[in-house]
Amino acid sequence: MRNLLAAGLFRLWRSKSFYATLAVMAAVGAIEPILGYTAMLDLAAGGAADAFISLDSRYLLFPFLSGILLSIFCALFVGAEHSDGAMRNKLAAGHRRGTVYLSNLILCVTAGILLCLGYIAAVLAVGIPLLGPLRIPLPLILWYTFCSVVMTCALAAVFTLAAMLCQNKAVTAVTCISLAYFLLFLGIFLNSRLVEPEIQPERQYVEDGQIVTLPAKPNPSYVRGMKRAVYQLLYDLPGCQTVQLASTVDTGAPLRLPLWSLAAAALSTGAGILLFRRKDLK
Amino acid sequence: MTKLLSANFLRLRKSRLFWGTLALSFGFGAFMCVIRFWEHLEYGFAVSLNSVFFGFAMVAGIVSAAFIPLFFGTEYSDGTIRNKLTVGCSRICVYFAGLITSLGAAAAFFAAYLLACTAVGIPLIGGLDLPAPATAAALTGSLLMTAAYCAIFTFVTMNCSRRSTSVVICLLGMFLLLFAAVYLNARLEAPEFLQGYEMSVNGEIVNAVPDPNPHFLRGTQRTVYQFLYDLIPMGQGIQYSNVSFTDPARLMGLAAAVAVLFTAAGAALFRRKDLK
Amino acid sequence: MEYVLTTQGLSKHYKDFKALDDLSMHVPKGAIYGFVGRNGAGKTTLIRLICGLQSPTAGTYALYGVDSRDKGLPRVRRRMGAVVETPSIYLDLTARDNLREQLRVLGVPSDDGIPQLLKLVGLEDTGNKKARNFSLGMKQRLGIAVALAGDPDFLVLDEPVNGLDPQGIIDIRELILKLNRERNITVLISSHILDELSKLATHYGFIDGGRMVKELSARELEAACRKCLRVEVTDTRPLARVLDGMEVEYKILSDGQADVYAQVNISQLSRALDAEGCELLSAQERDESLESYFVNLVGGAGHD
Repeated sequence: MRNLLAAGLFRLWRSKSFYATLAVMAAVGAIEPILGYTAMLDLAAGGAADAFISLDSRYLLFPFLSGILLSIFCALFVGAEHSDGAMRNKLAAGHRRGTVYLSNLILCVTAGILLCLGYIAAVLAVGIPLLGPLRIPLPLILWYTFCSVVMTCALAAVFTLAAMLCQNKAVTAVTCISLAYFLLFLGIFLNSRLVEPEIQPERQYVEDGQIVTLPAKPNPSYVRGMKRAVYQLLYDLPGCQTVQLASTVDTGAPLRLPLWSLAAAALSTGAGILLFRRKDLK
Repeated sequence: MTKLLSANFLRLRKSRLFWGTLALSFGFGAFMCVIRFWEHLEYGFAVSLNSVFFGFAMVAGIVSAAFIPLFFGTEYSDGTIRNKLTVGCSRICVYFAGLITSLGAAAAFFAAYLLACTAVGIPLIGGLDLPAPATAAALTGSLLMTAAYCAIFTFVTMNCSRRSTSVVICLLGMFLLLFAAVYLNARLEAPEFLQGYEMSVNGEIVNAVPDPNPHFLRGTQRTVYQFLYDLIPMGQGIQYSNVSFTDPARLMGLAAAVAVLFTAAGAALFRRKDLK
Repeated sequence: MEYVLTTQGLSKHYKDFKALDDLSMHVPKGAIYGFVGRNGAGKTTLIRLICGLQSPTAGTYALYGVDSRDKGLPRVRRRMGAVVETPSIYLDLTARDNLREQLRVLGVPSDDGIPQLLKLVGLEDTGNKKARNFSLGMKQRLGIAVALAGDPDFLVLDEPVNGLDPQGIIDIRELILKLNRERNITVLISSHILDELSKLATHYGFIDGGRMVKELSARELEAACRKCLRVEVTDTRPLARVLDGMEVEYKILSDGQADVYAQVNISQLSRALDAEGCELLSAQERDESLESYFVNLVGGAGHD
């Protein structure tokens, strides 16, 4: 295992796809505060009274990106093991399939963490001088960062599963990238459905100079019952939970989110190793 | 050229990827209709086919971004592009045959979606409730927008010798277009004035003066944003899918311009490319 | 002589690397031209150029006398078929469908020739099996069948026996000989497996570092490689008289050196020379194979 990891890290340090994805993370991390700063100047010039944009919203963006970029990295990095035949070399050298799988998983997880750190370093380095320090209390920021990184690692486990089991690099790339986006959009969709209030509050409006009062009534768009339970379950999955993490940052995301991430990672890795053991390789 | 087209279409007919995507497009259309119908039953919303029928414009890009590099990338990964050039087919012909075939495939996916909407949607949620010229404009415009997508992704696929790299570039580019369109849409939709308050003070109604919205885009900035929103195919896709376009001729002109520009640049690059 | 392919000063540079450097070659009609060189000598680069996959940095080539800058070249290309590096076949199609595909590209309306073509390369029994599941030898043969689909009279094969088993190598060799003899197809084969090439080629071109080192026919090569006795004498004129008298073939190399292409009795030769007043100083048997000829030509130690 140690040999495989050493070899894998060596490849990681030389991997173009790793540096490319890391560069995108860092670049977006640097650009976001700059965009915020120019928007703030625009607002001030437009005469807005409270022309202030905080660094917080810029900081919170990274899990939205890390999953997508990691899907590209995992597909290309692990896919190359198949397409370049390196997988054969490892198995022929007597490494067990489980070990080969886990070493690739650890590399993808490492890359995922580094991608997150790349964004964080850039957004803080550029953002603090422009927009000032983060306003959210430190423990909450740390908790958010921890949960997001754990979620990114869980996605790494899912992408590793796809990349280890599919021997065609291009198909792996389509699968992983589409999955990353699908989960993100599913999260956004579920969020919009789940935030619907159960009761529409009392409303007043003016008609012909008369104040008309609409009494509070149940919201037809409110998701209830079994459907709500299913939606909530999906909403907690890694990838989908991105929106939830960002929207609960002020109170701290519930503990179940990182636990779900860990469970998903364990499940996909267990299934992946089982299937990979039985797979016929070329 | 006709020879190359006939070879490409033969391969298309034999391609599981093509039939799979076709089935998926049909399934997606049917699914959207069923969802609308179900929402109608559940919540009593009034629904019409309008909200579904043009929905493929939203996903045409994503489908092409996956299909085109996977299908034509094989020419590089299996090396078969050599068989065409060795026997004297010109590079321009190879490029255009690829473009036309991808256009044909994309149009087939679109047709499958429309067929599903017609077969499943009309019985469930009724027909289109839109004047014929608007329908024709939305359909023609969507097709031209699809042509722009095909031109962009053919540009990438034919000029990138590695299939997996083309896939990544196309899909990533597609989602960047999507985010750009959503962002531009949000900026353009910002109202000019913030809602003036209507309060009742001791039973009397006081109208507060509406505040100008500092986020509202004005002047040149608005023109540029609107131009970009109309230019990028995904921006057009949003407008076609919810039938919110105001100047279809402008959109079609821009889509055609995108298609021509990418094709000209792509063919020029491909002519000079060193192949292996 | 009529040439199928000629190149003049052909060069291809990739940034600072000269893959081909002022290369000139001549492939006569009807020949099996063995193109010999180490890995990285420029063999595949040349083939990519003549197949139109890349354009030369400098120089030109002519196919059937039509210059590479001529607008009529694509029409002439229709007469050639090629397998460059790996066989170019769609892995998710069957052998039959791969050929149908290529016939469409060529504009051949009928698929009637396919069974015959499959039989020629020994793939008539592959049925619905996809090319992905073929063995390396089968893929190679399907690649050749695709190259043959347009009934070419010039076939270019890049390392056709690379990685094949002994039976596979024999199959390909038989196929090439059959195509050359029965259909009069000119064949250009690049290879670094010299032993295999020597069983086929009628002409050779030796390439090293992107340059043509030597071009010669198989007969010339045979002469150059023939077993011979190199003798050193005090004077070659009496030697010539003696050898003429013995009716053996020889070649005078200098005033004191000659190669004798026969098994001669050394004592007899020595006595005969003695009688002419000439001394036999040394006699050494020389045996040059294609391999050692090649090594001598390109200068021994490889830079692979």
